[in-house]
Amino acid sequence: MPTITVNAKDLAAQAGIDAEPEQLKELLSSIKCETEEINGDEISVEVTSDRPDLFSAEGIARAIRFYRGTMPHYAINRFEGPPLRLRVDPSTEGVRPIIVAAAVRGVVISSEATRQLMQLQEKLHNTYGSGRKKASIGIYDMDAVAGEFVYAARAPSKISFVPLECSSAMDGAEILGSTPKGKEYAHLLSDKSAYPLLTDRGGKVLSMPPIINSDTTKVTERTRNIFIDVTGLDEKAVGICLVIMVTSILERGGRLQQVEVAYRDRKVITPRLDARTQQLTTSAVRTYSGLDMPAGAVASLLERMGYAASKPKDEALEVTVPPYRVDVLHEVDLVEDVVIAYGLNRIEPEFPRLLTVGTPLPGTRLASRVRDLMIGMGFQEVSTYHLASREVMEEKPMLPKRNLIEIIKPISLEYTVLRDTLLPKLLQLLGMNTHIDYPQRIFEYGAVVKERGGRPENITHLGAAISDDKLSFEEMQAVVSALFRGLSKEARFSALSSPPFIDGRAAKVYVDGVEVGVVGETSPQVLVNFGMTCPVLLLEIDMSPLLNLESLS
Amino acid sequence: MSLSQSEASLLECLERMGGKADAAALASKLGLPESSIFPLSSLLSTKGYVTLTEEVNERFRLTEEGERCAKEGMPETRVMGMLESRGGSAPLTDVSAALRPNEVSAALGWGRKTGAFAIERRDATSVLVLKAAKQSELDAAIRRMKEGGDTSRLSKEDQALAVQLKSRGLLEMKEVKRLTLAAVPGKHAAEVSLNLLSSEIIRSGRWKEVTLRPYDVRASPPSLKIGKRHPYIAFLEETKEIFISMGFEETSGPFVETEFWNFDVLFQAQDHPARAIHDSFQVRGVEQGIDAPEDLVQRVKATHESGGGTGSRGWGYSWDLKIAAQPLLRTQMTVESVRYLASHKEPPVKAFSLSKVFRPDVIDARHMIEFSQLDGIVGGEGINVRHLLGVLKEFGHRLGFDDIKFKPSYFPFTEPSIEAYIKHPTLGWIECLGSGLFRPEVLAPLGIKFPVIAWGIGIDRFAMIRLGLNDIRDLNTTSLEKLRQWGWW
Repeated sequence: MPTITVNAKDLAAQAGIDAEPEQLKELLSSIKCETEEINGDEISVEVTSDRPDLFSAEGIARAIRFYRGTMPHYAINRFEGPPLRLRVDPSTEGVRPIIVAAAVRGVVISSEATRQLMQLQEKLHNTYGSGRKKASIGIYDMDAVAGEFVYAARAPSKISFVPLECSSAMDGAEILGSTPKGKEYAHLLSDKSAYPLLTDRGGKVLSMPPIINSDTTKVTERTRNIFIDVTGLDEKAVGICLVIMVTSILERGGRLQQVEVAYRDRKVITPRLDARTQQLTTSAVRTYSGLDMPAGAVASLLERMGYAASKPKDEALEVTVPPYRVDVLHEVDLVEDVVIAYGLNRIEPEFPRLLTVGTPLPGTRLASRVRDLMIGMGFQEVSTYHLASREVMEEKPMLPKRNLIEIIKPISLEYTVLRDTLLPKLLQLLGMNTHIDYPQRIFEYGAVVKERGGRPENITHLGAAISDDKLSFEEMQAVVSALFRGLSKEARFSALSSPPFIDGRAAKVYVDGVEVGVVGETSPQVLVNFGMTCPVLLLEIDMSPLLNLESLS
Repeated sequence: MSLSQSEASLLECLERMGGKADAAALASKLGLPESSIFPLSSLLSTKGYVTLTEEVNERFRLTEEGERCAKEGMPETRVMGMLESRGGSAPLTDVSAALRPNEVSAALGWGRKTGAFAIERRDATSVLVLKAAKQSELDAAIRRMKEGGDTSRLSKEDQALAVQLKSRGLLEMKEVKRLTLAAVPGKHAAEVSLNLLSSEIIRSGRWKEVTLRPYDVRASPPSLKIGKRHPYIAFLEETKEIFISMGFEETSGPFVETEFWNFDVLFQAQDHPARAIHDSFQVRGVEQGIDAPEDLVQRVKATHESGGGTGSRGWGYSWDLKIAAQPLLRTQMTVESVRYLASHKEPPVKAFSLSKVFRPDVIDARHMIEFSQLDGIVGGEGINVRHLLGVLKEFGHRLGFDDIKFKPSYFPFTEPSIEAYIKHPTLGWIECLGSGLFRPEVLAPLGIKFPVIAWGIGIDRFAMIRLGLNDIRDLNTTSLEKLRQWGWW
């Protein structure tokens, strides 16, 4: 979830209230903003990622004004005049095909407003923009350029402008190679032969998206007219970013001027701020929230969340959704806002009166019985991770290389594959405890992952190990016999020759004629591989053939 | 003062012997070596049960030679008898032959001294001739002294004779320490106490006569290596019990899932940031493919693209079957809740699942890439937010947390979405779970026609609180020492 920083004085001023940071905290939590930290006038707020309209102080202040009832409904102040024009050159098609843009005229941008704008841009980049890949935003001083604008892709060597905060002109390759932002985002363009470039009528460069703006179009405190573009790969993400930028800047004043974007084959007017409406009935409110209230009450709660609701007709409301509420997809999204406005903690909890039967998973009773028997035989239960390394699963126990489920991009070399047997994990654990008193007796009752019926399934295994200065095979064999005697079964054994066991000192275990597991003495080479100097006896049983024990038939 | 078992039996024996006896007598009565009597006596004396007197005595006893003389008579007496039977004389060679070599000179010396017989030369032969009938007083003396005893108990005369016998190698004298124990009146062996009660003591009835010595009960006993349940697993079992007792059916599923079940069914857009490779573990080593009926796949596709008749706008993009078919490790147990719904379309439903999920993260004290989650659902006509709050409140209560509060939140598959916080006495408010009503975009493709509340609990946070841990990795500790010492409640 994004965390944003706002200035308490600026926020209070915009919200039209007189409140100390601590008092703001309560108000913020009512509108889905969680205060993380208050440091003087600086407040860190965690907001949810579905609400980009709350990624800056402007949007939060707007929500507070609605919540306190000091703003009746949402409206956009428009510039009376023709839209600006932006031509998209077909050369961008294989590079970064989509662009949307807007201008805001006559706005005063304070230093705090600039900071909020930069923060909003960054948060949008990191969420909806997927790190500038799907969408990246540029903000410019419009008075430094002259429309109409051209968006085209150019060979890096044909590009030349002074990047933001630089002193000399560079070409495309130099920008990627030597500027900090160029290096950070070079991977988004490095496989392209041409880089996107946004210029004005006279060929003056505004930016090289999604990397960097030109220095001449930099926004300062003297800027009064702002031009914004969003380029990218995803029409929806690009559109959301522009709507959020524009509606946020407009909270500081100014008038919106739209832009007509001309592609080879179509023209679109951006930003798209069409009023959306969503139906909501009181029965939907009741069904989802349990709140039973008349339509008028629902309407006034909705207004506190920034919606405009029509006069109720047959307990149904027609709700106008502000353009910045990109999260509203369904009537249920409106119900959530009704609940928030009503106050979640005012709703009376009620345990559902449904008659159902509590049922544990098959295998629960067997697990409990087996664990009791193992504990009775003096084994300490252990719980190891289901993830392991190939070194632990294959090399150290000298088991064959095999088709283990493997993580494509692991986080740690220790955790790359899913275990298909418990024994290596037990050996690894014993190898970490060679300084602890012997004898050591451990067991684990848990899942391994093996293919069953063409899909990888979780299979429950029992694994156990005994380690001591001196051991004989029959000590673990006796455990197997006692275990199955405790389950009214009889274990039988047949010779097994396989790693990690010593030849002639291992056996397959059979119950009711079905092979269920192995028992044996670990080979000295395997012990050495795991850093051990004491002998180890091992046991592993696949519990799945024994599940039928739980049924009486 | 309490007595040990061996001290007690010595005292008992002394009392049976009349309250006074020497160590040797006690030793033979008890069948013990006399040497073992001395330390016990001195302990009994220290504790005031007996008084000890020690005397040093000279004891005499016959040598092997002496014992023979006591039986056969002294050599001189035997010589007298021989001379008398031979008519008053016998050749010296005959006399010598009748005696042992070391007896000859002593016998002749006695004869010379007493004048009983003398050696004479007859026909160039030495002949022993009887002169006067004399009797050796040593004969009677050696027989009197046959049993041995204290020198001091002999008469003056016998003491002189004993010295003579000693000089002839027929008797030896030795200094002996003699310890006499006398029971102190009024102190009895009944106060005996024992270290260990044994079956022998119980069987013999001796337990009636003894007291069991008190132990120093504050001393630390030795530590035991016992078999125990793993506390983390035991805690997870407890939480499962809570839901089962509330009428929930437990359900489960595989670690290895498809993006379809893990994300698409849960209405997470395929370009949702949580689906990017850094937020889930995609895997290889398994065949791709969706284990779901084709009509479900089509309904999910339509819902993502345009809402699919659910009353939703959908995400408005082109849904890709290839992405949905990719295998990954499940990132949330909610996948088991929707799998359950797919096969339980009739209300009411109450189900939960608790197992491991996997998410890429930097591994530290608060984050592990493999951790447990508890998800649950309740579905039925009329189920709403109030019931969600009700179930969560009851669960918190059963875990011991009575203060719970709720906050609006965001999860892509629920609306409204709600987070819950529980109040811990020392740690304060702790965020512990996410919940909500499944979105219509989740339920409609599954064919569920009633509302379903759902929640996911980061149960490891609760486990850490209950088990007193500050590091999530300690839930799966590999330290055998920690496991052996671990106590919790």
